Amino acid sequence: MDEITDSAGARLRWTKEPPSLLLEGPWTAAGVKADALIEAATRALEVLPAGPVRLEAAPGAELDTVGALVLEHLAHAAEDHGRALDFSALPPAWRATLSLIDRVAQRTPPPEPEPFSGFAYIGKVAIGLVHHYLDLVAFIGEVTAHLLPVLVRPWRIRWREVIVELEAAGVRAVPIVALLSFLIGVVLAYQAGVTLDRFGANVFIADMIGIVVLREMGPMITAIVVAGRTGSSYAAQLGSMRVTQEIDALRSLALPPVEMLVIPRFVALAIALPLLTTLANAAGLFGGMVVATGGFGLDWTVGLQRLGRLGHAHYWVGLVKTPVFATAIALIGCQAGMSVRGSALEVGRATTSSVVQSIFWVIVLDAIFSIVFRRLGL
Amino acid sequence: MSEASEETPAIEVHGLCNRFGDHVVHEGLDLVVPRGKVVSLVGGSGSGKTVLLNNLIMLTRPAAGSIRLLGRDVASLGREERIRLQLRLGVMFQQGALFTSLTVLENVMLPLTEHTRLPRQLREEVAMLKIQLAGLDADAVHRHPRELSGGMTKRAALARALALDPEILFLDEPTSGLDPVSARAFDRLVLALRDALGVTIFQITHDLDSIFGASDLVVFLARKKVLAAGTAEELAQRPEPELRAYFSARAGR
Repeated sequence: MDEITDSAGARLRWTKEPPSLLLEGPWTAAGVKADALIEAATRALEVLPAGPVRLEAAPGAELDTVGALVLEHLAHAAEDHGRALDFSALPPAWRATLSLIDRVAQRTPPPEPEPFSGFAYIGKVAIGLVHHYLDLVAFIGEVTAHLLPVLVRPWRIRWREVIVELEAAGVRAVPIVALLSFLIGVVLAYQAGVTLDRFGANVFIADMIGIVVLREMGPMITAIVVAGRTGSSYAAQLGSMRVTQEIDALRSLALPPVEMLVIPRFVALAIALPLLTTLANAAGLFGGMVVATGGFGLDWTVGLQRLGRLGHAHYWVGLVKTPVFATAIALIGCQAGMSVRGSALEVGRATTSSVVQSIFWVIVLDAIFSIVFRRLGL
Repeated sequence: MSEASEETPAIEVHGLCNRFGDHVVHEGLDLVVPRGKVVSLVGGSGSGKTVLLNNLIMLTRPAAGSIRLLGRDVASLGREERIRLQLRLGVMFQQGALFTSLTVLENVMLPLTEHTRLPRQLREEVAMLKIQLAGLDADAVHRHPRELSGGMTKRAALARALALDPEILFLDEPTSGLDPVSARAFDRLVLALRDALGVTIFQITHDLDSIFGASDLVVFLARKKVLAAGTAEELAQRPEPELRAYFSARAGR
């Protein structure tokens, strides 16, 4: 009798007469070292006399499905050496487990589906993009079709929803928008001040921050904050409503989801964004003036006079962009939400993509506006 | 399984209390589940079935009372022992709770990968075995959870619960949301697992066909404790109004 031991786990002893293998210890997921056991068994089989080799379970030995799988591997390894293992002396429970795994048809996983090659991946992404923009265009069409009738008859807009959304998108955004714009004004004034100070042109700090804040920074910063706050929440709200089938429920009640959900959000944002931008302008100018007066010795009265002389055009040029930004943010956010299919995982994906896209489009639209205004000489 | 462990019940609960604020869910609940049986936990909505299950699978601690699983007192265990005991339990959640970012195969392999030192090939074989034991087609293993039907999700979840050859298998409403044919097939599967692997199965169910057709023992939860335990036929004969109301739903069909 000889012993092959893996002290912690499953063990194998062999006896020559009659030729048998004794299984000891835990033949379980925690206990087996498959390769060592198979190797040990193969070595034992070389020594054991010819004839079928009987398997026996030692008292206290355990077997689970992992151990049974290993036993099956042992049997295959024995067969490769022209030997047969005899399972008949094992306890009935062990034989039940062995016959259970014997009934299972496919042992190894089928080959994984081929991942896309680089080239095919580009194609897949391109097709996905085309589909996405086709969906977006279709969505814009749907929203327009619902929007035009209610714009003619504004009392049909669901003002209750609009007011709820106005509070969420507008009122609650006031602190963050004001603070960020104030800081942007501070930063701009510092950057402008350092250069202008060298030429003794401190008075122009006011002109500089006036123009930059009113035309670009106010509208842009507000739009970007709103895209991150509100566009994403639109996507998440509508997306989770799709997952919970609320959108389907609306449709089944003959309540068009676009009219119920999208139009109020769109209208709310179109109202909120210009107002927030005006607030951002004020906060930005104030931040700039604080630095200009405190850091670069500009007189408050002089600064305000310079600002006053800038003309209203800058303000309006900035403000006219905001409804367009609002449209882009609302449409992209709502479309991302409405396009969610299936699981909650998709809601997260839609939310992220809505933020990235709306910020992207805000900046692209702003660039287009700059070119157009330049051509128009504004 | 050693001789000694055969004698201790799979689950022993004594004097269990659970409360949320002023709301008392369980008070002095006692329960014994013998090994190798299919036990159905039954009770009306709000009777605390899920709360009890969460206690038993060690997700939550009861306010008072003792729970012994496989002969071990849950409250007295150290961290390591707790983990070792947890690995002897399998849990199938009501919605499946498959990890959405992983395929079915990866879901089933996850406990094997994290808690055993088996070589990858053997892990795959074990996972394939459990997936097919759970009645799922081998072709479905590379699918993601969102691509599975309700019945397939349940089976994949069962396969993951079976991954580490649990000694107690907890099933939370395994047949809810399944069509009658799939539900009966699931019942047969549960009985086959009991017979083949000797697993103790503890399931929450509302499915009267499972209660009558595929349970060795039915435990009825009401009045904050186990109101009655026995075979379904015995419970259907009991005089308590809660039991009569519950089981007359079947008679009335």
